[in-house]
Amino acid sequence: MKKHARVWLQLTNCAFMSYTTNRLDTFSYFIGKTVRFGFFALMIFSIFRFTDNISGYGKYEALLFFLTFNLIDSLSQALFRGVYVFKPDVQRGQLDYLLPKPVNTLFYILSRLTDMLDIIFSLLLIVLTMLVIQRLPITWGGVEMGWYTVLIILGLLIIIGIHILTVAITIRTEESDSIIWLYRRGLYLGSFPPEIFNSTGQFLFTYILPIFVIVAFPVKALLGLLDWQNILAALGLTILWLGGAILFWKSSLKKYSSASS
Amino acid sequence: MILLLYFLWVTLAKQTGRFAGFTPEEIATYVLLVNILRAFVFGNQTRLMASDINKGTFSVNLVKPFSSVSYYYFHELAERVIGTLAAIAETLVLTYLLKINWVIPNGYTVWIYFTLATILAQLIYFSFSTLLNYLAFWSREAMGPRFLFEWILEFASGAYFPLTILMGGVFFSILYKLPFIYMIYHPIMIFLQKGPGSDMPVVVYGGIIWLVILIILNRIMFNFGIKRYTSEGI
Repeated sequence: MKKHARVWLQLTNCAFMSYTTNRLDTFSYFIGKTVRFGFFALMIFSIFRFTDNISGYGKYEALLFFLTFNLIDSLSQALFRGVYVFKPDVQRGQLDYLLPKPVNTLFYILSRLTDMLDIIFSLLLIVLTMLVIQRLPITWGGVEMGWYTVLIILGLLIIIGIHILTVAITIRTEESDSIIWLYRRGLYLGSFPPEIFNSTGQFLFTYILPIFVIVAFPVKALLGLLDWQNILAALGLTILWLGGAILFWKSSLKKYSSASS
Repeated sequence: MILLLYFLWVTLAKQTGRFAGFTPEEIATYVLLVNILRAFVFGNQTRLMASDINKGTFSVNLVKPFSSVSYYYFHELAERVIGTLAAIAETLVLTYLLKINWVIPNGYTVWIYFTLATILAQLIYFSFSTLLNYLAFWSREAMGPRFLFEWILEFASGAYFPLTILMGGVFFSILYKLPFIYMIYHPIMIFLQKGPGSDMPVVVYGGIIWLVILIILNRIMFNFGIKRYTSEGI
């Protein structure tokens, strides 16, 4: 654990150096992320000029869905961005050089590129989320906040599973990393309450591609709208996605031929 | 994204019968048309020119017997045609699965103005995009500004929501004066024949004026930029 923390810190340090070298790009990307966030927030505030609820959720509840989506997306972008630069390693056979390193290969692949901008952005989002939570028209306690945190962690574990799945599929096909883009685009569906979708959509994005488990379940737990059966379902889906992805990774690694090295 | 936008806006329109002046059918048509126009107007290959300038491979186009701008335009157009056909197919599938009723305009005049506004939208976007790509003459860091530009453009053009929902606010009055609005919002408003932007000749003339301004800016920037071009990396 300590060794991996040291490796991560070193990799993060390298990423930081890269960001400080490309200052114009770094500044523009950060402003770009802020603009994207600001426009979506403006959209939500504008919606509430015409109505007082979205599928029964008030302004601050809708904002909480949006902020939780952003927080989870930013955290996963910040920590697991390495998956986006993995495909060339397989195509050029450079995975050979990663496998013998004295560090968990999967950990190295996922975390070798830390996105400093998303780390900063995540901190801002945590502050904004706390401000919005304080304005919710409900009373919540430590239990609700505890479940909110636990379910966010479960959501991040499912996201790790999706990233591992992407890595494993890339090893098998040597070209496809499109599943990560399917996930990235799909996660946007969680930025609003799931009740806006029809029942088929809700089922599909809860149990097949668990977007609502990742984003909506933590919010619903905080709002006191999630029953224990759904909490158990979240736990089961996390085990299924993460465990299944690790097994698939192990099986895919056996297929790696290093053909082009 | 199309699924999110469709369900969000249609849910809101059904909740109140009419949302920000749009009926459920109108807002559904808006979302589906955005899906098609995005593919035709925005495309995916727009960073190629900046990348070529940075790598030095831009030189290859300079010695060819046609303008580099037209090369990139037709290169992108080919990709856009494929993307648009895919978007049309996707939209038709969604229309069938979700049983969506489109609002179809009456009269050929609307169709002519809609076509003109869409072609102008694509040319305005390309001119803007080229302007951003020319930044690569001065800096190797042209991708960050492009990322920023693309997000501003996506929202300010109305690709996520009908800008009418901002009406009455300070943002709407600012956005209404910018050229981004000609890329998605105005063509769709012409199609739907409603709201600000449905005055068809005014929209087309406005678009032409912006296009001329952008072409002039492009010429100026290219003439300055090419003097700094070093073909580094060749």
